[in-house]
Parts: sequence; structure tokens; C-alpha cells
Amino acid sequence: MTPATRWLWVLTVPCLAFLLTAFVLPVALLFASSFTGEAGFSLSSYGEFVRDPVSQRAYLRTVRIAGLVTLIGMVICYPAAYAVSLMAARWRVLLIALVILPLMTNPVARTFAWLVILGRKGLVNNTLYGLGIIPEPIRLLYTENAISIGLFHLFLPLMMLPLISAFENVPRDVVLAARNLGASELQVFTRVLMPLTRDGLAIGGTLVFTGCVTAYVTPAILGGSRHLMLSTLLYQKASVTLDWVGGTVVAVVMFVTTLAAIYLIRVLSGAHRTRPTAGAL
Amino acid sequence: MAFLELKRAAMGYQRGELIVEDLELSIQEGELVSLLGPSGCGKTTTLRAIAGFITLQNGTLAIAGSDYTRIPPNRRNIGMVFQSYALFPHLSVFENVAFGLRLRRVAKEDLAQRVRSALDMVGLSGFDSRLPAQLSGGQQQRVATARAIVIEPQLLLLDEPLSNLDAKLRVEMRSELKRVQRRLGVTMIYVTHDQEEALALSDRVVVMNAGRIEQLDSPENVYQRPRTLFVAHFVGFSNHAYGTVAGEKEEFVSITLPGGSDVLSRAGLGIAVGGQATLTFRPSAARVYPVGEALPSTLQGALHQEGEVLMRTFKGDTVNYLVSTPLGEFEAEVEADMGRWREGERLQLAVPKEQCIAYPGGRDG
Amino acid sequence: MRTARFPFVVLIFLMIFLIGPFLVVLVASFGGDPSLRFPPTSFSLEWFREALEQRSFIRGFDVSIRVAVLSTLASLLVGIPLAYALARYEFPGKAAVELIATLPVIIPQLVVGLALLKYLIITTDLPVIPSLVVGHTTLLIPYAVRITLASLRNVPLDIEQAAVSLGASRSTAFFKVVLPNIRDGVLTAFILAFILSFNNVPVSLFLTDVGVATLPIQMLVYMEYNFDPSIAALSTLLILFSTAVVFAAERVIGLSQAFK
Repeated sequence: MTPATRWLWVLTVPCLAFLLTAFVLPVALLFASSFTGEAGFSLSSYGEFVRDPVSQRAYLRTVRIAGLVTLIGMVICYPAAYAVSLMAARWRVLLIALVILPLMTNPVARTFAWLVILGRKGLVNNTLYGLGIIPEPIRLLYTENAISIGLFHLFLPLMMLPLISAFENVPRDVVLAARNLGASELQVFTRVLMPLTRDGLAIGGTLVFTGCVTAYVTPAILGGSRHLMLSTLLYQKASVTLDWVGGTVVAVVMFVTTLAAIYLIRVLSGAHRTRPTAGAL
Repeated sequence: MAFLELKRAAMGYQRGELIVEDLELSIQEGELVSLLGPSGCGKTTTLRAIAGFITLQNGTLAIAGSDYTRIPPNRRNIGMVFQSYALFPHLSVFENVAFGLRLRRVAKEDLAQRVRSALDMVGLSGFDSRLPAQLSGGQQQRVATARAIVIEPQLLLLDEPLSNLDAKLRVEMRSELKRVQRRLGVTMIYVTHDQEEALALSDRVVVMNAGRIEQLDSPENVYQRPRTLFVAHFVGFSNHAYGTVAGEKEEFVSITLPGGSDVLSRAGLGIAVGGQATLTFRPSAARVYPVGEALPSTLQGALHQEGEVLMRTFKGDTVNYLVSTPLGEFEAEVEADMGRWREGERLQLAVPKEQCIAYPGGRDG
Repeated sequence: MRTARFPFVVLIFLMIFLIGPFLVVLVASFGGDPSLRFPPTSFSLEWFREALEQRSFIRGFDVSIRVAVLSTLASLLVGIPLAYALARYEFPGKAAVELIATLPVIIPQLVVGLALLKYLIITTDLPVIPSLVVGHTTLLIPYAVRITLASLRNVPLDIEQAAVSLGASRSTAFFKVVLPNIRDGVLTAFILAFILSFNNVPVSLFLTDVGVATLPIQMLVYMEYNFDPSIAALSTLLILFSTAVVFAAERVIGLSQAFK
């Protein structure tokens, strides 16, 4: 063994050994266990998942909410990120710090804020009641909309950050060059800015969608037990009803859904370098 | 026995992919040798192999009589100056220079004194507490040199140390480097792609191409008597004409050019009667005369063509002509008082036989 | 160039939406009502006292800090050498190694927690805190590797070789020359990893039990049975904590670079 290879082993083996035993192996075993029945390979656990109405509803709800939040996020964050990129450097830094701040905050605390806003005696109800718009408090919490709002708030920074850096990476001269060649402002936007920032949109979309599919805290607090998503269903099966196989099936479905979303967004956007960045929180 | 000896050395960055093969190089103690060549010729690879950053895949390296082939780079006591200077960004000038001494556990007072004298030698004092980012390029270069010499290396390696400086400073620093080398008497190997720098600086020049040594010689010989067409091209023989060798006469050969004229030229290595030849000369070797004027007798039998000025470039003391002739385009650099021809006008161009060299091989060789 | 006003209007509303809820929590935490309402009808500091005296919160905080410190250190300890290898060596299987080191970000964290519980914790009977440290460390490694790798790419190989030519061994060169120059990156990785661990719910969810749990888990449990402003008070403290960290880190090391 040459000295270089010896160093290479010393540097890489601890991390790889740790990840293989504490991560790759358990996850692989977990996935494999969902495909085994009494006589070897079997898809029976998946059959149960597909036939179970509760699971069906949770699955559709998850995809519906994640898709909605991702789309709305894209539409709203795109112009906002563009605005950030146009600001002077010192304001931009402050704004980016403000966008990062929620990412760094305890998710229970963040979700809790929505209890205060959407609760029976919360901000929205008290305001509407005080203005005489509603005769009595309306139910806002423990609905699908509450989950969507919470998730949108939770993952907004993950849409903003890639978009801001995509816009920042567009050289100013490119815009000027396009104008010089006779493009109108709208044409600059559709022909220059859009194509150059599509990757940022794809990255943000991927992060938000996968985040929504896997988030636990928000649906647990704002959805309650009547509006299950895949994550809360997984927890219920594995921890409350101790249906381990059922929980594992949900885990695999969840993972496959995120992979499918990553692939789909990649194909739709024509982006080839969709990389996961700040990660799902 | 020479101070440094590379024998049958093969080197490369990955196994099975050699950049330099079968290199033989010996350098005397106290000598200043340049490795000169275009990028990718293997000069930097050779330097890194001597420093020990890449291990020889074949062959041996000996320094001062001991085998260094397998000695790790940190135990070679070889000073190195990098193209990027590679100063430690987090350390002050003083600490950069002191780095090697601290590793050698030099006592405190001695250390400060040695750092100061190294910095004095490169002409940089009063910057001790500055960080590298606060220095100009020239100052950074001086720190890099001081850092390499302060450890009293048995050998000093410099990898294009001046290529990031502007032209004026480059010339100034070049003579300073030579002065430092002479004062210390240290053996020095200097890598550069700049022929002027190599010729001005070195006791001997090693011209490299595609991993091989083309010529190892004194600067005068490399400049006046390039051994191969490659070296000739590299030291400025940029005009070419092609023909066949008709005969030999002492150190000259006569070449038959297309169109039937025979011209005389110095013979390069390996030229043989009957073979193809490439005739080359420097732009500054060309002389120009008005059309119809008789040439001096000294130019009897010399390369001689009539042609049209395609482009004229004024360069101060000299004027450059690009002349189109039946043999092709030639560049001529003449004194400014010979600069009266305008673009589109015709003139005669001639090159003394002493200033032409013919090498074996035709247009594609 | 004239720029449209529309994007800025969107941005302003978005920022109100993003930051507003934090302010709501802040105000609510000073409320004097026995159950949560907004706006509060009276004000007091009562709920801060309540939150700080809550035994489960104190124990949760203690567990969270310990787990965050240990898993952050562990992830840096194995992650920095790996990042160094990725930055400095070419070797067969490098792409696979890079994939393994980023995989924990791609696999849903709940899944990681469940897998660990089922195949590591139960079989080896590992106590709660070590289990949490193992789980969090796998999650943090990708961040430790990615951030240090990015700052290693800014340290040219030349300066390491310069140190070696001056007599330093490879490891001396690393500690005296490389490490001081990636200090900001390592610090960024430390802060980010610490906060990710401190705030984590999905991995912790399966790995804690009734007696020993991290602060976010204790908060979730508490909220199942109580609806009083002490959670708001605690949330306010946590929000102030992360605000301080983000702004201090942005000042010192430019934290936002890590999110690019």
C-alpha cells in the first residue's frame, strides 16, 4: 500500500463505516422487509395499503397538499426572489438572513404560531368577529387548509433561497446585452431571465415538494388525527398501533413519492443538475 | 559526479499515464539551470518530481550522492517557490518566512535573526506583520522567495515564479533572483515558458518538448545554434521555407526551393543530401532592398525573393513587414530607417546564409 | 433601467407572511389569560416563569443540548476527513462515496428514524441518548461534508505543498495550514449542524421514549394535553435564540453563503 492509499483509507473509512452501519444497512433492511411475506418475495403489504381507505386518503391528501404548496410557492416566490436580487447588497444580506431565520427556528415553535393565529380565539377569528363579519368563531384549525398554510410558511425559505441565488447568478451585462439587441422588458424576462433561473425554480420546487411529503410536525399539530398525511400515518402505524409492516410500507411509499417528484420536476424543467441543498427540515 | 542526477526518470500523475519518460538530467552544484518549454512539455512535472510531490514511476533521483527516489518531500530540504506564491493566507509575512524554521525548532533569537536576514536579502523589510493579502504581487513574490531560502535548502526550485507580474517588474525581479542565487551559491532549477527569461538568467538551459529534452546547452548556444526545429521555433526562428537538400559545403548546405533556385544555409543536426529540409530564419535576420537594386556580394547564394508588403507594423526602433512571396509569407523586422515601404508596394527580401538554419523534414515533419 | 414595482409588492407581503407569525408568538407569550387567545386581554410575564419551571422542558433542553453537541462533533470528526479526501484525492468509487455521503438528505428523516429503531436500537438495546446521537449524526454528516468541501476547494493545493516543502508532514500541513484556512467553513458547519440537531423532530420521534426526550418532542407531547401560553413563552425564547445565532453567524462568517 502506498502512503497515499493509506491516507485515503484513514480519511474515508470512519465516515463510510459509520454511514453504512448506522444508515445504509438499516434503511436497506427496512425497505427489503416490506417486500417479504411468509414465502419470500411478496407485495401483499402493498396490496393492503392500496385497499385501505384511510391510507388512500392520506396518500392523495399528501400529494394534493404538496403539489398545491409547491405551485403556489413557485408563483409567489419567483417575483419576490427577483425583487431581492435587484436590491442593494447590504439590504439583500439582511433579507437573506431574515429568510434563513425561520429555517433555523424550532419547527414546533413555528407551527405553534399558527395555533395562535388560526385558533378559536386566535387572531383571524377575533379580527373577523370584531369586525362583525362572522357571528361566531369558525373552524380554521385541524383542516387541510391549515396544514397547507403551515407547510407553505415552513418551506417558503427553501423556495426563496435557490431562487435568490439563481437570480443573483444572472450577470447584469446579459440583461443589458439583451436590451441592446432590441429585446423589450417582457422579452428580457421570458427569453433571458426565465431560462437562466429555471434551475433555481426546479431546485426550490424539489425541496418544497419533498419537504411537504415528509414533514411531520406541521400535519401533526395543524391537521390533527382526522387529517392524516403520509408522515402522520406512518407514525400512527409504527408507534401507536404498532403495525410495523404497515408503517414500513408507508415509509417506502413516501420515499418513492419523493423520488418520483424529483424525477418529474427534473424532466419538466429540463434541468440536469437538480441538487438537494438545504434539505428537508 | 554531478550534484543532482535524474536517471531514466519516468513520471506522471496517474499510474500508466506518463508525462515524462526516460529523462536524463544532471546538474552541477551551484548551477542555475532553467527548464524551458511550452505548457504541457513536462517541465513543471519534472520540477514536482524533484521536489517529491510526485513519485518517480521509474528511474532514480540522486542529490549530493544519496538516493532521493523514495524520500518523502518534507525530508528533502528543498526550497520551492510556486507560481501562485502559495503564501499561507492566515499568517503574517514574518510567520510565513518563519514557518520552516519553526518546524526545525530553531531557537527564538536565532529564528528572528534568520527571518530578518532572509527578508533583507530579497529587499523586503518593514512588512513583518502584514498579511499576504495586503501585499502587492511583487512583494508576495519576495516573501515566497525569502520563505524558500531561509531554511538553507540544498536545492532551490522555482516554478514560473514571475509569470504573474507585469513585464517591467518581471525583468527587475529576474535579476534580483539571480543575485540571490549567486550570493547564496545555492543550486537552482527554474521553470519558465519565457525564452528571454531563461536565456537571461541561466548558466544552462534545458529546452523540453512533449516530455523529452530537445537541447541542454548554454544560453548562447540555444539562441544561436538551436539543435532541432522545435528549439529553433521556440527561440524565434519563425519564418519557414521548404525544399530538398542538394549538396553540402563545409558547415553549409544548399537547398533547392520550389521554382528551382538553390540557396545556402547553415546545416542543422541530421540534415542529409537528397532529403527534405525546412529552412528557417528569424524576422530580424531578413534584409530588405528596393526592387531592381543589386544585392551586396556577401548575399551571394543567399535566400532571396521579391514580394509584396501585405502588412506593415511600426514598432518604434523597428518596422515589421509581412511580405508575400512565391515561397509563401515571410516576416521581416528591419531598422526604422528602412521602413519606407507601404502596404501594397514591392520589395526584395534576402537572408544571409549564416542566419538561416536547415533542419531535416518537410512541411508536415 | 426602470424596474417594475410588482415584484417588490409581492416581496413585502411575503416577508410579512414569513415574519408575522413570529411576532404573533412574541406578543402572545406576554399574555395574561389562562388559555391561549390573540390578541391577549391582559399582559404578564407569568408564562415565562411557567415555561422555565416546567420539568419536562428543562430535561428536554438538557437532552437536546447534549445530543446536539455530541452529534455535531461526531459528524465533523468523520465528515471533515471525508471532505478532505474528496477534495484532494482521485480514487475509484469516488462518485459512490459522494453519493453515500449525501444520501441521508434524500431519504425522508422519519424513514431513517424508523429504520434505526427497528434494526439498530432494538437489536443492540442502545439507550436513548446514544441512539439519538447516532441518528442525528447520520443526518448531519452530509452538511458537514458539503460545507467543509466547499471551503476546502478555496484552499489551493499549492499552499499545502509549500508547507510540505518547508518540512511539514502531511498531517502537520493539514493542522497548521489547511485547518486555519477552512476555519469559517468548519464554524458554519458546526452552527448549522448544531441547530439542525437541536430542532430535529422526525429522526428523534422514533428514538425517544417517555422518560428521555429532546425539547421539540417534549413540546409536542405537552401540546397534546395543554393549550396555555407557556409554549408561546418557550417558543419566544427559542425564536430569540435562533435570531441571535443567525445574526451573529452572518456577521462573523457570512452564514448565508452556506445556503447558496
